Amino acid sequence: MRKFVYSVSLVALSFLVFLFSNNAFSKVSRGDMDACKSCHEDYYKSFVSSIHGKKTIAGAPINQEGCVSCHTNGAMHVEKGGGKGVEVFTFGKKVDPKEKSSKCLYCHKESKSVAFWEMSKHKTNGVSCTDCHSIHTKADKGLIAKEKELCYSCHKDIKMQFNKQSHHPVNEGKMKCSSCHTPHGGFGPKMILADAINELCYNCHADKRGPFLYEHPPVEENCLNCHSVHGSNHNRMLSKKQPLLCQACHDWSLHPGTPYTSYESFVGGATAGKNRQIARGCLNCHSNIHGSNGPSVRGLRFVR
Amino acid sequence: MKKINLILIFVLFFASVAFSGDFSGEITIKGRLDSVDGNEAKFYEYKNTGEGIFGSLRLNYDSEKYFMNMGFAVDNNFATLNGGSYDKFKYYLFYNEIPHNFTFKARTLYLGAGSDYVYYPTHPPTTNLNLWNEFDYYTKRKTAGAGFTLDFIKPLSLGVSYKRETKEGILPTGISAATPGGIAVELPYKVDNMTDTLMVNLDYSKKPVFASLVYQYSEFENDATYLKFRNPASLAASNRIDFVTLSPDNIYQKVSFKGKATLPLNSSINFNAGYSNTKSEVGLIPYYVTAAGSTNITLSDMLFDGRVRVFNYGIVLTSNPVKFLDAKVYYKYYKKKNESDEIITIDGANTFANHLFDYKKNNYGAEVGFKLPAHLYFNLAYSFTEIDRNRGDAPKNEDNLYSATLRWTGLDFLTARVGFERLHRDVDHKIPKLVTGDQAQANIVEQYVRRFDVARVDMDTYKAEFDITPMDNLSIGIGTKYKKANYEEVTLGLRTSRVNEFNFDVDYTPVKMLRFNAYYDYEKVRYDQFQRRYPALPAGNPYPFVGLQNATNYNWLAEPRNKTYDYGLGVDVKAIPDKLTLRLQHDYISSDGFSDFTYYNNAALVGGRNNENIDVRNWDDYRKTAYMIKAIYEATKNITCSLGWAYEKYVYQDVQVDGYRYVPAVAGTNGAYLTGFGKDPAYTANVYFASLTYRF
Repeated sequence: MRKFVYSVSLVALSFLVFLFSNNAFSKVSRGDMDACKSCHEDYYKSFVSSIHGKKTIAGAPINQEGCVSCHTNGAMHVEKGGGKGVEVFTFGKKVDPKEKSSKCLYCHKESKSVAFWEMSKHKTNGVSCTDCHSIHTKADKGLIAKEKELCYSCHKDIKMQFNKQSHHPVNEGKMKCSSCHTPHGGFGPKMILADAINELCYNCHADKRGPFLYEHPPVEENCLNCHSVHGSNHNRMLSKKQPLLCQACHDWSLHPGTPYTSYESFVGGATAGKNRQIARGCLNCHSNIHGSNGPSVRGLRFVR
Repeated sequence: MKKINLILIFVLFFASVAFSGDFSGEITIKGRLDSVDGNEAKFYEYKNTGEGIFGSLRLNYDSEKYFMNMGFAVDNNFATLNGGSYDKFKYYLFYNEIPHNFTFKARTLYLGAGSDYVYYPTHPPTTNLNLWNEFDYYTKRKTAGAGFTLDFIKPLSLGVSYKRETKEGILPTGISAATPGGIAVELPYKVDNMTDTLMVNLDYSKKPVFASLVYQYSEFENDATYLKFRNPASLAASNRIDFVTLSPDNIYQKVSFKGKATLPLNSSINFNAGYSNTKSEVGLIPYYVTAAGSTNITLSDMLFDGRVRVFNYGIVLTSNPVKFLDAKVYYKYYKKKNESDEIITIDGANTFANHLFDYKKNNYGAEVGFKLPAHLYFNLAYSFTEIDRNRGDAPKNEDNLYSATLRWTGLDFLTARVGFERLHRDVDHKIPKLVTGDQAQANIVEQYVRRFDVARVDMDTYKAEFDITPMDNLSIGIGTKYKKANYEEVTLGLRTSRVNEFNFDVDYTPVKMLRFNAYYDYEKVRYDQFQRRYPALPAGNPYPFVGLQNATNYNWLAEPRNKTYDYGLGVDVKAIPDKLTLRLQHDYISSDGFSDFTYYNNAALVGGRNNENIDVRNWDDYRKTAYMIKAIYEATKNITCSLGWAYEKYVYQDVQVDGYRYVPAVAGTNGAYLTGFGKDPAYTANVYFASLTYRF
C-alpha cells in the first residue's frame, strides 16, 4: 500500500514539475467582446476566467466568436440598444431546452462525456445543459451548485429517501449521485454507470459477487428486489421490513408461514418463536442470504 | 493517512516554488467538541469518531494551459489531487475513507471477536452478561487510487485508472444452531478484504463516429472466508468446531464496447456490447456439526469452481428529423450464464445438487417526443421486456411498460409536468421442482404462492411536478406521486401496495440581508400481504380459503403502513453586510410505522392474543430533530471565522429491538444468543464547533 501511494505520488510530482516549468502564459484577448463587456462586465469576467475563456483550447468560445458563440446575434442586440432577450439568444426557462443544449453540443459534439446525450432521460424530460452547468463559472465541471443540491433540486423524492434512517452516505459527503449515475445518458437502466443493477452494486460490494455454490435467485437477478438503495425506513435499506419481506415469497409449513406479531417480540407475551421477530429477524439464522458455500441443506437454506 | 498528507504537502511545496502562476485556495483549521448521550455508533454512523482540532486544505492552480486541484481534510480522511493540461491530458490521485459504525459496546459470549475463530471455554456458555466480552460493530473502507487520461492523441484518448479498496471491521453473522429450527446464535465475524480494480479505456471521437473500448479487471480477496465457532447446541462432550462460510475470493473481468455514429436527419445509431466473466474457487467442507458431533456428507467434488459469464448488447436509434419530433427506438439483450460447478451432495437419504440460476433478458421499446404549440411537450414511451430464467416458479416474465409525460413551459414563472406510467407484468407460473424437500407440499402450496419480484402485476404511477418562480427572489417546487400495484393471481404473498408522496420546497430572499428556505416531504406506504400458517403435511390442508382452519392451520393478513414526513427551515441573516452572517437551520424527520395483523381463525388466537393486541405499533418508528446555529464572520477579504452549535436528537422504537435481551429464551428451542447488534440506537448529541479559514 505504502509503495503504491509513494509511486503514484512521485509520478504525479514529476508530471507537475515538468508541466509547470513552462510558465509562459498568454493573456486572454478581449477581441470583439468589448461591446459585450461594456454592459455585462461581470459576465465577461466570469467567462474569461472559466475554461471557456482559455485561448490554448482550440475549440473554446474565446477562440471562436466569444460571447456570440453561444448568445448569437450580438450585433443586432447592440444595435437595438440591448435588453433582456432582445435579438440575442438567452438561456431562459421559456427557451426550448433542445435549442439551449444545441449551443453547447455544437462545440462538445466530440466530447465523450456527452456522446450518448441523445439517449438520456434528462434530455427526454426537457433538461438542458444550462440547468446544471454554467459557462460563467470556474466551479468543478461548471456545476451551478454542489452536485447533491443540484440533483435534489429536481429529485425531491430522492432527497427525502436520503433523509431516511438507513441510507447510502450521500448526505454525509462520502458518495455522490454521480458515484452511481451518469446524468448525460448511457445504455444502463436509470442512467446508472453499468449495464445492469447488480453489476453496479458489485463495484463496491464485491463480496456479494460470488459466484456461490447456493444462490438466492432474486438476489442474483436484481439487488433492488429487496433493497431501496437511496434510503429506507427499514434497516439495511430493505424495501420492506422483515420477516414480512421474506415471507412475501416464502410461505411454507411452520416458521416461514407463521405470523410474527407483537407477541413474538422481546416484550411480547408468548415465548414460542422468539427468534424471528427480534434483532435481525430472519437473518438471525439465514445470514448468508446473498449466497452460501456451506454444506448440504445448511448452505441451501443460507444458515452456514 | 498521515503519509498521504505529507506527500500532498510535499507536492504543494514543490509546485509553489516552481511556479508563479494563478494559485488560489484555502486553509481551514477546525475545532470540534462533541457531547453524545446515548448511542454513539448511530450518531457517528458515517463519520469518523472523535473530537479535536482538524485541518483541511484546498489548493487550485489555473493557467492558460494547466490546472491542478488539490485538497485534503483530516477529519474526513479524504485527499485528492487532480490536474492536467487543458485538452491534452488529465491525472488524478485520491484517498478516501468511509467509516460505517453500527453498534459500539456489543457483547458476545465468545472470545476472539474480530478474528476468524470465536470460542467459549466452558459448555454450556454462560448467560451472565457481565462475563461476556465487549467489542464494536463497524466497518471502514479505505480507497486509494490514481488514473490518467491522455487526450493529446486526438481523436484517440487513452485512460487508465487503478484503485485499491480495503475493508476492515466486524459485522454480525448468524446461524441456527441446529437445522431446521433451533436457537439462533449471533456471531461477530471479521471483515478483512481487499478489492483491486484496474480500468483501461481507449476512446475514438471524431464526428460522425464515437467509439470506446473498456477493459475492467477487479479482484476481490477475502482474508476470512470462514468463521469458525463453537456451537452452543453441541453436547458438552462434543467439542466439534462449527463454521459459517463467508464471501469467497473472486475475479471479475469485463470487456465492453460502446459506440455511436451520427446519421443524416439529425439521427444517430448507438451500440454497446459487453462480455464479463466472474470466477471464484472454494474448497468445500464435507461435514456439518450436529448436537451429537458431526455428520459427514459426500460431495461430487471437494472444490467448487464458480463461474458466471454475462454477455450483453444494445442498439439504440435516436432521431430528431424535424424540430417538433424526437424519437428513439432500441433493443437490448442481456444474458447471464451460470457455468459454475454442479456439486452433488449425498447427505444420508438426501441426494441433491446446487441449482444453477441464470437468465436472459430481451428488451425493446420506443419513445416519441412531440413539441406542440403553446409551449407543450408530450412524450410517449413503450417498452417490452421478456425475461427467461432458470427458476422453477417463474421461468418467464413479460413486462409491458407504457408511459406518457406532458410538460408545459408557457409562463416564464412556471414549469409544469404531469406523467403517467403503467406496468403490466405477465408471468408464466409453474410449480417448482424442489432441489430437496417435500415436493408433495410444494405441489399444493405453490399453486397459491406468487413471489412479488416475478408475480403478475398491474402497477400504475401518477406524477405531477410544478416549478414556480413568481419573482426573482422566490422559487417554489411542488411534486406529488401516487403509485399503486395490484398483484393479481396472488393468493399467498404480497397482494397490493400503495405509495403516496408529496414534496414541497421554497427559497425566498425578501431583502438582500435575509434568505429563507424551507422544505416539506410526506410519504405514505401501505401494502397487504396474505399468508397461510400450517403444520407439516399431511397434518393440515393448506388450501387457503375452504380448507381446515384450526389453532395451527389458519390464514392471516398483515397490513403494514409507514407514514414518513420531514421538514426543514433555514434562515440566513446578514447581520452586518459583508461581515457577519447568522445561519439558523432546523430539520426534522419522523416515521411512524404500524402493522395491522389479522388472524382468520379465532382458535389460533391463544395465549391472550386477540386481533387488536397482536398489531405492531412500533414498526421502525423514528424521529430525528436537528438544530444548528452558525455565525460566519468575514474578518477580512481573506479570513473567515465561524462559530456554531448543532444539536441532534434521534429516537427509535421498533418491535425487533424494544426490550432487547441478549438471551431471550435459552431453555426453549426458539431462544437465541445475541450480541446487541442494532440495539437501542437513540442518542442526543450537542456539537460545538469553530473554524478559521484563510483564503489566498
